[in-house]
This record gives sequence, structure tokens and C-alpha cells, in this order.
Amino acid sequence: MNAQTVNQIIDALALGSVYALFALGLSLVWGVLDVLNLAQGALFLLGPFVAYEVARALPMPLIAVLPIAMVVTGLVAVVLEVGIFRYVRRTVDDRKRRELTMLITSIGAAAIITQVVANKTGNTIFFIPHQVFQPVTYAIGKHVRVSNLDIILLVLALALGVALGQWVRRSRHGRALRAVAFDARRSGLFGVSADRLAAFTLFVSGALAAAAGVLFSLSVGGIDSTVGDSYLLTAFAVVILGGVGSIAGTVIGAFLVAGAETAVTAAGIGQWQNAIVFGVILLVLALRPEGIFRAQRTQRV
Amino acid sequence: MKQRSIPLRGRVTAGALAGVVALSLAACSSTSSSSSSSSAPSGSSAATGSGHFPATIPVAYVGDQTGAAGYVGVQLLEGMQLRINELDASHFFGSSTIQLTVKDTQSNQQNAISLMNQVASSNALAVVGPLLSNEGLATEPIAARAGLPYLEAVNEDEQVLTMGNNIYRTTVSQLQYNPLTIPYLQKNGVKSVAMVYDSDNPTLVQVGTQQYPGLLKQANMSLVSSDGIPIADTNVASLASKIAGENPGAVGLMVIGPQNPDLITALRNDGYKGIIFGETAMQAGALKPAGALANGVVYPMDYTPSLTYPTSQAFTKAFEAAYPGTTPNAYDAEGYDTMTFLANAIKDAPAVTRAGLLKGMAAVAAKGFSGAVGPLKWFGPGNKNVSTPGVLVKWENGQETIAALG
Amino acid sequence: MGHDPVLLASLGSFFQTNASTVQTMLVDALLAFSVQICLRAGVFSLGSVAFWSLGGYTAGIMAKHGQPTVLAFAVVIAGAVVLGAVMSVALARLHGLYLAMATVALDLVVVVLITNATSITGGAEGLFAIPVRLGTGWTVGVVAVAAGVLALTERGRAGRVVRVMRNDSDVAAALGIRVRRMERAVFVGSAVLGALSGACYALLFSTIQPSQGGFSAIVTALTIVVLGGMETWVGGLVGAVVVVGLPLWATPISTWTGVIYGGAIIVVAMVAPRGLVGLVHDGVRQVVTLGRGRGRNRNDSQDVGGPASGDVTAMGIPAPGVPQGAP
Repeated sequence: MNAQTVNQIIDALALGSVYALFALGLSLVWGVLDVLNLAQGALFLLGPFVAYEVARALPMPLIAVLPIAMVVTGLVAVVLEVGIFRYVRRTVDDRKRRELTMLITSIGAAAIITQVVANKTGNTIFFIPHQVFQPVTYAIGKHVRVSNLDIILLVLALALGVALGQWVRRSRHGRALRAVAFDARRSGLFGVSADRLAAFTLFVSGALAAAAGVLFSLSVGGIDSTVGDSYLLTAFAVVILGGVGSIAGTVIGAFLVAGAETAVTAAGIGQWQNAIVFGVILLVLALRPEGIFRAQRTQRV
Repeated sequence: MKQRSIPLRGRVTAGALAGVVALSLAACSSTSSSSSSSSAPSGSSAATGSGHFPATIPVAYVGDQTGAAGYVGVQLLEGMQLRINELDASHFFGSSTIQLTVKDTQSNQQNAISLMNQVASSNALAVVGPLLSNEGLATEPIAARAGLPYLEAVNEDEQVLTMGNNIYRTTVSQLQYNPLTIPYLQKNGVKSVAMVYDSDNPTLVQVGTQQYPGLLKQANMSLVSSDGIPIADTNVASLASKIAGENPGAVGLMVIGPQNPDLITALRNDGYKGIIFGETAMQAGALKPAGALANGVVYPMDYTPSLTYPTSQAFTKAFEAAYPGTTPNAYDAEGYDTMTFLANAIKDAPAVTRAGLLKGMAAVAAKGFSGAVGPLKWFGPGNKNVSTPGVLVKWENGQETIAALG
Repeated sequence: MGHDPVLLASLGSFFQTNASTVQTMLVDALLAFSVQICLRAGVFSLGSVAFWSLGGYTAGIMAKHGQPTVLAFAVVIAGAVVLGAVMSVALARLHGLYLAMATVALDLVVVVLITNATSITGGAEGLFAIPVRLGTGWTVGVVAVAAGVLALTERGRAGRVVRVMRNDSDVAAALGIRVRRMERAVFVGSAVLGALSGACYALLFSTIQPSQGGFSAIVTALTIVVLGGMETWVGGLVGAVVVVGLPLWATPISTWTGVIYGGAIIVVAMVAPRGLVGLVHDGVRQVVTLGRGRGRNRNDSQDVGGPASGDVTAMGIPAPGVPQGAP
């Protein structure tokens, strides 16, 4: 294996980590609450925007900026749940109609968040000030390179993935969460209110999106307000591939999609990237609608 | 639809005051309700005007003031306003003034079509067209049918020029000054080049797949790879790794938006040490996110604030006086020159009608003039296209410096 | 009061000046119809925009090659029927959000294919200088025919079948409705309407680009349908008028378009699921009812959370094998 291939694999792992962090929230909210939250892309944008504003107002290191961005974005996601999704869940009985209404309201929320960020940044590129975090690149051997951000991303994605998986599987909240996914009305049996669980799930998904967004924008340099949409669509692909609601599946799906995109770019046919990724998604959906890594618990097709 | 237009006429004399007025208009993002600030105190302009000019000369700008291209359109408008204020102050049309109506396309083709139809059926003498190539392709036929003189600014689409006899380009396409890169590469001993371009932007596809490959071949440099990527693609790390692995003498980035600083960052972090060159999208601070990693990146432009032509220096000074605390960029300069072209054409027109103005435009295009970007010469079929020597800009520590003059 | 000649004249010049705005509204209404018929039947497809692009490019390329307009429309419709049928079979196992996802993926694939098939489609620059073949009159005709067909599916037996399908496909099957076949028909109908919308766009405005068929077009189409209301074709038309007209007539707020639309669709989706048309309808009925001096809540008023959840017994569809009036 030559050095360039190793570098590409490192790139794919870093990219896959961003996808995983971002898609985990989408998958969780979709799988548990039956909400396809199209505002997740806007939350991915909001995270770095908050970090940018906070760091400009008050010079702070990443260790302080990242949690602030995660909490603020998580709270915005909670506002979506409490202000919109909860109301829809209570007032719309019919499932198809409820899914559609959730999706539409989340589009509205995404439009609002994106417009605010676009206007505040003048529709141009913005970046988290360099004093927040200075990426350092380490050379291994002559040509292999890995940056400290690559490592942080990978560790964070895997750690949060495992933690989330353990939480859903073992904790009382997690069991209640799965119960909500199965039957919203009976989840009360676990002594946890479905409303609070839903709000907490949205908080987690928002915080994950913010973490992904902040680390991503630090690793690339600058972003603009259109970044949310492109990442949202990729995250769809990840979730579909991994199976909705499956945490392990989502993480594996993220690395598969990142690997595929990296391979396409490395092969010099980058302009076909979307066609290849989404063509595969179309095939997967047509042939195996539950995703490659079928979630065991319920069939939600 | 009067309430949507901003009449920008005025007989403002002092430069500083002109700046205030223009700024207050720009701050409104070209929306309505600003007429109070713009109709300047003047008794004479409401009357007949001077010579054969009407009291006010109505022209329109169907441009992007909001949306994706909004920040460009707003700057173009700043430059146009500066020039209008100068013309009014110097009584260029005697006691007559230019009345500019601004209509915001919101960077949307369908809006652009509707707004161009409104302008076509209004009394506007000429229109400055929208900035995006898809808007231009859709709106130029509308203006052509109405015999409405159309000024193509910023929009670099080549096909729009072929669609009617009513159109003139007033800002120089990068195709004209991109060749400035080649001597710089030769001087630095570059033998091989890798190109990256946005596969969904027509101009960049042309530059990346036709213009540069041709120029490189002429200069005996080899093209080691050519990669098209979608504009929305944010997965630049693997592309940078690939190119760094190929280790060409130079990398050409024909991309827009965050991809510029992001690719530079990734290339340098991957240990790439060769020359990075780009195109006009690197201007106006687009490279700042890359910090010191972007030092030494070169890109050909039509204008940079330190450009040495006397007319360029005059513009830079006037702009800095009118908008204190800001530095002009190429969009400002291009807006300024667009309005100069239009004003000269109105003055040269045998009659103040659309047909008359077309003759005036032909006369100005035949002569050319020296504007904010330096000497402007019109060429090509019908003299509709325009060129300027240009300047190769080098980005150093957050500043544009001149690497080579055209 | 007779006709006011000044008013008529100014109306006439208004339409002349704003003809292209009206045309855009009509084109968008067709696209909205395409989304509507799917959603109304419970088929959560967002594939309309993919067919919009394909229809637009097909018509545009044919017109540029001098083919007659009628032939171009025939090819567009036939192509949409065939491709719609193929896709509906390929995606037959998908429902709900999964179908939505698959159709979004279809759209993204179509955009990339069009962008990169440069020799046929003109690539990123798109098609331009397409001969203008349609005017407002013809477009009104196409929309009127489409609206007529939609109206037929909204009333009477067909309307009830569609409602049952949306509310419960098991019940629909039990009632003898061939759900799969109906879903396929809906998908194909949607494809045809989407393709017609694209074809009209290309032949009205003489240009079309791949970027116009992207994800943001899906969002716009959904916005139109949600704001106007998805129960009747009137909703699609009203939504198109609002979404196309608002940015043009309210440029002072253009910096905040996203906030305004975003807020509007959230509010409408939450409190007025039948859209502006539903709101007006309810308002008018309330006034009429009050005028008649009757009680306010009549039994036949359609419930907001899902019209016709109780309609099954009242629909009058003879269910084979199930005795009428069985519990």
C-alpha cells in the first residue's frame, strides 16, 4: 500500500467521522420519534456559526467553544421539539399525515435558521477564528500525514457512537426510548415521560450536529451557509444505508459513504460523486428497503 | 410597481455627502422605501433638464441584491452609485440626472425573468443585467425583443453575447486576463500543472477544461490531472491528497466559495509546496479562512486597489472617500466602469431613446476608455466583448499585492 | 356601474407587464399538482422535480431541433408514463419517508446526469435560445386540463377512493380497491404532470439549467403545496400564486424571504393543514352557516387532523365479500 492510499484512507476516516456524528442524530430522531428532521443540516451549520460568533466575542480555546456551540445548538433543537414537533405529535393522529407535517415544519425551521446565518455572514465564507484551534499535521514516514483534528474526529465519532449505543441499549432512558419507538403511549410504563425523552433526543441530535459542524469547519478552513443542504443529503444516504434507528449501522454507513466518495474523488471522477452515491442509495432502497444493516427491533417500512 | 424601485437620482455635490447617501441606500439592500433619502433637494431637476436630455434619464439594474449572488450585486451597485453621484456633481448631463431603478432578482432566475419583463415595458432607457449566467441567458432575449440596451456586468457567460444586438459587456471576463498566469508559472520553472474546476459552473468548466489546457499546451507544460467537482462538494481532503500525491509544479483552482480556502488549506497541510493559482473568486478576502497557508497564492484579476493606472488610482481614492473605512474590490470597480460606459453612451447617443442609445453604445465601444480597471477595449463580433490588460495578484498576509501587470 | 375603461386598460397593461410572472405561476401550479396528487393519495413521493427536469430538457432539445410542439409534448408525456411506470414498479416496496428519500435520491441522480451529459444537454450552462413555443393562453389551457382531471379525482367515488387509500391502505384493500395499482397510477400521473410543468417552462422561457431541478426545487414545490393546501387543485394554484408573487411584490423583505416562508409553512402546517384554501373555505362556510342561523358545527365539516377518518362507512363503495352494514 503506497503512502497516497494511506492518506486517502485517513481522509476517508476523518470524513466518515463527520458523517457519523451528523447522521447519528438524524437516525436517532427518525428511528425513535418518526421525525425526518430536515433541519438537521441547518443545525450542522448553526454549530460552527455559534462557535464563530462566540469566539469573535470572547477569545476562547476549542475546549470551551465546542461545548458552547453544542449546547446552544442542542437547545435550538429542543425548541423545535417543544415548539413544533410536540404539537404535531399531539394534534395529528394519522401517521402518514404526521410524518409529512413533521417533515414540512422541519423544512420551515431549516429555512429560518439558514437565512439567519446567511444574513449574519453576508452570504459569504466565514470561519472560526484561528486562535480557537490550530490544526497540526504530523508526518509519519515520508509521505503519510495525519492531523490532530483527524484524530479528534475519529475518536469523538467512535466514542460518541459507542456511548450512544450503550445508552440506548442499557440505561433506563434508553429502554424507554426504545419503548417510545415501539409504542409512544406505553413508554410511560418505564417511568420516563415521552415528552421529556423526545426533547432530550432532539438535544442530543442537535449537539451531535454542532460537534460535527464545528470540527468539520475547523478541518476544512471556511464554510458558507449552503453547507447544511449538501451535508443533509449525504446524511440521508448514510442513514438509509445503515438502517434507520440503528446506531452501529449508521456509523458503518457513514464510513462506507465516506469511503465511496473518497474513492470516487481519488479516481478522478469527482463530478459523478452524487450520481454514484445516490444511485447506490436508490438501488439499496429498491432492493433492500430496511437498509443493509437492518435494525432488528421493528420493521418501520 | 413604483413602490419597488429606488429612484437614485440626486444632485449631491460634496463627495462625503454622496458617500453617505450611497451608503444609506446600499444598507437598504436595494429595497424600496428609500426614496426619501435619495430624492435630493433640487428645484431644477424636476423641470426640463438641459440640451436634449430629459430632466431625469431612467435606467434600470435588474441585479442580485440578496440570495447567493447578493453580496456581489450589492458591491456592483456601490460602484455604480459612486459613479452616478460623480456624474451628477460634475453636471455631466447639464442639469439632467440619471435615475437608477434597482430590482432585486434574489439570485433567482424566475424573478429575474419577471423583473426584466417589467423593465422592458417601462420607460427605462437601458438595463444592467443580472449576474448569474442562468439569469442572463433567460433575461437577454426579453430585452432583445423590446430593443432594450442590455449591459452585461460580472456575468461571464459567453453565450449571452450571441443572443441579441442590444447587448454589450461592460466588465471584463476572466477569459481575457487568465493568460497572465502562464508567464508567472514559466518564470518559476513550472513544468506540470493539475487543474481543479467546479463541474456545475459553466464559466469554470470552460476555464478548467478548455482555456487552461490550451494555454498550458502552448507553453509546453503538461497537464497531469484535471478534476471536476460539484460546487456543493465539501469533501476536499481526498482531492487534495490525490493532487499532493501527484506533486505537480502548480495547481490551478477554478472553484468558488469556501472550496478555495479549503483546498488551499488541505493542499498545504498535505505538504504540497508548489505554486497555487486561481481565478477571480479568490478576491475580496475569500482566502482569509486559510490564514498564512494562503500566502503566495496568485490569481489574475481586472482590478486590485493598488492598480497603477491613473484612472484606477482616481477610482480607488474616490471610493475610499465616499465609503470611509472600506477598500474597493473588483466588483466595485466593475460597477463604476459599467456606469461610465452607460453615461458615455447616453452622451454620444444621437437621440435619448433606446435605439439612439444603441448607437451611442456602439460609438463608445468603438473608442474604448480608461476606467477603474484600466484601459478597456471592445472587440469581437459586433464589438460586444471587452478586454483589459489585467493584473496578476499575489495574496500576502491578508493583502492583495501585484505580482505582474498585464 | 358599468365597466371602467381605465381600470380595464390598466388591468390589460398589468397582465402584459406581468405575463411572465403569471406564466411562472402556472408552471409552478402544474408542478404543485404533481406533488399534490401523490400526497393526497398517501404516496409520499417527491419525484416530481426529477420529472420536471427530464420533461423540460426533452421538450427543449426537441424544440431546438425544430420538432413541432405537439410532438414534443407527446414525447414528454409518453416518456413520463414509461419512466414513471418503471420507477413505480422499482420502488413499489417503499412507503412513507423511505419513498420520499428514494425519490429525492432519484432527483439528485438526474441532476448529475444532466450536468455531465454535456453534448446532449449543454452541461452546466444548460439549454438556451430554445424557440419560444408557448404563450400564456396555451399554458392556461394545459393547467386547466390538468386541474379538470384533478378535480375529477377529488370528487365523488374517485375522491373517496383516494381518501381511503391515504388513511388506511388495509381498509382500502379490504374494500376491494386495488391499492398497488392505484398507487402506480398516482405515481405515473404525478410524473406526467411534473414533466409537463418542465416542458412548459422550457418552451415559455427559452432556457433551462440543471441547477433548477435540485433539492431546493423540491423544497419550493412542497412549500407551494403546503401553503396553498393539498386537498384540492385550487390549493396548488393559490400556493403557486403566493410563492411566486410574494418575492416580487414584497422586495423590501427579500433579505428575510427564508424566515418568512419558513415561518409561514410551519404555522400553516401546524394550525391550518388544509392550507390557505382550507382557511378561506372554512371562513366562508362559517359566515354562510351563521347567516343561515344554524349551529356552527355541522357534521359534514372535514376534520383538520385527517378528513374522512370516519368516512369509511359513509363512502358508499360496495365492498365485495363484506355485507353492507356489517359492524
